[in-house]
Order: sequence, then structure tokens, then C-alpha cells
Amino acid sequence: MQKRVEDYLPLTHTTFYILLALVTPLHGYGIMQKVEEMSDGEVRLGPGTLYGALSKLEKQQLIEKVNGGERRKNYVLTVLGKKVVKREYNRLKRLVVNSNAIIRNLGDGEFEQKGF
Amino acid sequence: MNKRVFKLFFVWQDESEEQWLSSMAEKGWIFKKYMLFYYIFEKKSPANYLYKLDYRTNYSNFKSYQALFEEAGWKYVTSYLGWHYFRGKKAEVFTEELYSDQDSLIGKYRRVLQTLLTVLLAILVLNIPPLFYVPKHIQWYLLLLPVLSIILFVLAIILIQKKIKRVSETKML
Repeated sequence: MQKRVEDYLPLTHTTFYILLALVTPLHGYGIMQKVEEMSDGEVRLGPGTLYGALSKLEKQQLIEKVNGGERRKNYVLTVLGKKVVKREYNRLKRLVVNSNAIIRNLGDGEFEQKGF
Repeated sequence: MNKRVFKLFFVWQDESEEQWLSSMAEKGWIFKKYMLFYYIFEKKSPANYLYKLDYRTNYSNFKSYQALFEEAGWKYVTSYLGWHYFRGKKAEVFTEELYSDQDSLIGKYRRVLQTLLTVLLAILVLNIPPLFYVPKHIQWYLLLLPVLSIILFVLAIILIQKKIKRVSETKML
């Protein structure tokens, strides 16, 4: 049976960042650096984690190999991968938008600190 | 100069094994190879190495697996029955652990568990026929080894499951 885009959601923290990093072709270490940069240093991927995630995402056809050598492989998002990452973004955005007013009314100081 | 050291680590003691290899490197014994309870070390100058073990039995391409770890600062040392040994220097590795999130670390121990269950099943299946065909008075001798290994595998399965539980209760990403 054909899997629907929603069937891949929700994505883990790690998977979401890896997919975001792969809007342009990158190899392993490039992905690690880009994810670290995008997450302001919060997410540093271990090689075991990244290898497992890349194998899984490739099997799910969310990413594919491009013009790499035998050892050093470059990956990029597929059309399906783009759809999945966009759908996840919309899902997260809806959560944030829908909860925004309520969270604001809680009057926690953390809101301002994080620059919202 | 090489030396061979006999040392027994059980499958659930991967972290102790990592620490032991590091402590050997501090004394200048650099781990090279593992063969059935024997560790081969080479004498070099003392070094501060982190050692990490990964467990994986299927990969589309072993070279690209190795290459990814090397890009992250981990030198591939050797493999034994699905266990892969990597070493790195604290200042040079991208992360001090091979796994940076809970799901993937649990995944490693699930793969170990899968292998243990498969082997346990094989031992059980292979030892059922002798129960029927072997005369009673020698059955005991014949079954001693299988029974001991079954106990060991069951213990390993319980302890790996405990490990998975511990990891899932640890706060990670």
C-alpha cells in the first residue's frame, strides 16, 4: 500500500534537522556541521545516529544519493522528502500558533527571554 | 612489540570494555584486534584515546559506514561478529558518543537483542532432537554445554533489556 505523507510524521528532532540540512546535497560531515549550525549548537549528531538515520531515510525514499564516490556519499532530499519536511513544519507551526495565546496568558517570564 | 591479553567481557559490558581499552592506551598499549577473548595490543607511546563500540550487522556498504565515522573524527580499529571498534581523541571527535539521541542508542541495543534471540532460538532448536535419541545416562553430559549457554543467553537478554530501559529513562535529545 502506498504510504501517505502523514504516515512519516511526527519526525524526531534528529530526523527533522537532517531533512532540513539536505535541501542541498551534503555528505556525512557536512550534515553534522549544518545541523549544529541550524540548531545553534544544540544538536550535535553522533556518527552512529547519523548513519542509522541516513540508511532509514534512504530506505523510506525521503532522501537519495547523488554524485558521490564509493566512500563519501552525498545525499539530497527527494520530492517525497520535501513534502514530508514541509508537512512536519506546518504541523509544528499549527501547534505553536494554536497554543500561542494560551501560553502568553500563562505569564511565564521565559516567553520574553527567548525573544518571542 | 605486540602483546596478547586474555580478558572476558560479556555482551552487556560494552561500556566497561570501552573504558578498559582507554586505560590500556594510557599505558601505551594500543588496541589492534580482538579474537575470541583475546585482545591484541601494540606497544606505542601512551595516548588518551576514547574507545567506542558500535553494533551493526547489515549495511549497504561497509566502506561508507567507516568513512562517515572517520569524518566525525573516529578511527576504525577492527570488527568482531558485528561489533565495530572505533577510537578517537577527545579534542578531535565531533561528539564523544557515537549516538546522540535516545532512539538511535536504543536501536543499537535492539539490534544486539535481536541477535541474542536468534542465537538462543537456534540453540534451543538444535538441542531438542538429542533429547529424544540419546540414551538417558549420557544425556546429562551432552546437555551440560547447551544448558549453560542457554542460561548465559537468557541472562544476556535480560541485562540488555534492562539497559534499553535505563537508556529510555535517561534524558537525552
